[in-house]
Amino acid sequence: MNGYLLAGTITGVVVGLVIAAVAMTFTKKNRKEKFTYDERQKTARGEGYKYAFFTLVIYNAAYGIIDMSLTKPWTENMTGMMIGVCLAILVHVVYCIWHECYFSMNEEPVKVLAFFGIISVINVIIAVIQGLHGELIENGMLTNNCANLIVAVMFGVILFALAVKGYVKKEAAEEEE
Amino acid sequence: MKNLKLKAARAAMDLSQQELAGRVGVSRQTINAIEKGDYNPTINLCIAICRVLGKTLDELFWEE
Repeated sequence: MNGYLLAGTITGVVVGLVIAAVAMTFTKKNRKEKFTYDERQKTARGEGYKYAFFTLVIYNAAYGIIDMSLTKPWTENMTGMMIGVCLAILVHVVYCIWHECYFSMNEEPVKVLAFFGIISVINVIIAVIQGLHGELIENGMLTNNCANLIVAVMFGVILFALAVKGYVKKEAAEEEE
Repeated sequence: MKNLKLKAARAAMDLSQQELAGRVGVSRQTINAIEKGDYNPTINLCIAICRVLGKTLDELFWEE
C-alpha cells in the first residue's frame, strides 16, 4: 500500500468514527441515557447478527474461490474486503429494520434518517467525482477508491428499506383501523 | 394468536401502546407484537404488564 492510499484509508476510518460518535450523541432522545433495547429487540437483533455472520462467511468463501479461478482479479483487496463487510452490515441492518429492532428505545428515528441521508449524499458526490475522473475502475478492476461508492450504496439500501418498512407499517395500521 | 385480553385491559385503562410500553420499559413495537401474537414475552415482562394493568397472569395470558 502506498503512502497516499494509507493516509486516505486512515483518514476515512477516523472520519467514519467521528461521524459515528457524533451520530450516536445527536440521535439520542435523552443524551444522558444509553442506547437500550428491550427483550424482543435483543432476541431479534441476535438473529440479525447470525444472518450477517453467515453472509460474511459465504461472501469470504465465494471471494476466495472467485479470486483463485480468475487469471486477473476483479477488485483490489481492500475493496473486496469492504464489499463483504458492508454486505454483512446491510443484512443485519435490513433484518433489524424489518423486525422493528433497529432503533433503540432512546433513539430518534427521524434524526437517524437525516444523518443517513447526509452521509449517503456526501458519499454519492465523492463517488461521482471519482467516477468522472475514471478512478473507480482501472484495468477492468475495481480500485480501492470504490469505498465511497460502496458506502453510498449501503446507506441508499438502508434508506430504501426504512422507507418500505414505513410504508408497510402505515398500510397495516390503516387496515387495523 | 392475537392477545385481545391485553388489548382490552389496556384500552380499559385508557392507555396507548406507547404509554403502556413506557411504563413497563419496552418499545411500543414490542407491545404491538404481543397484542398481535407475533411475540411471546418472558415471564418478567408478563408480570410487569400485569402490574401496570392491575390484572393477573391468568387474566391476561392464559389461553382458555
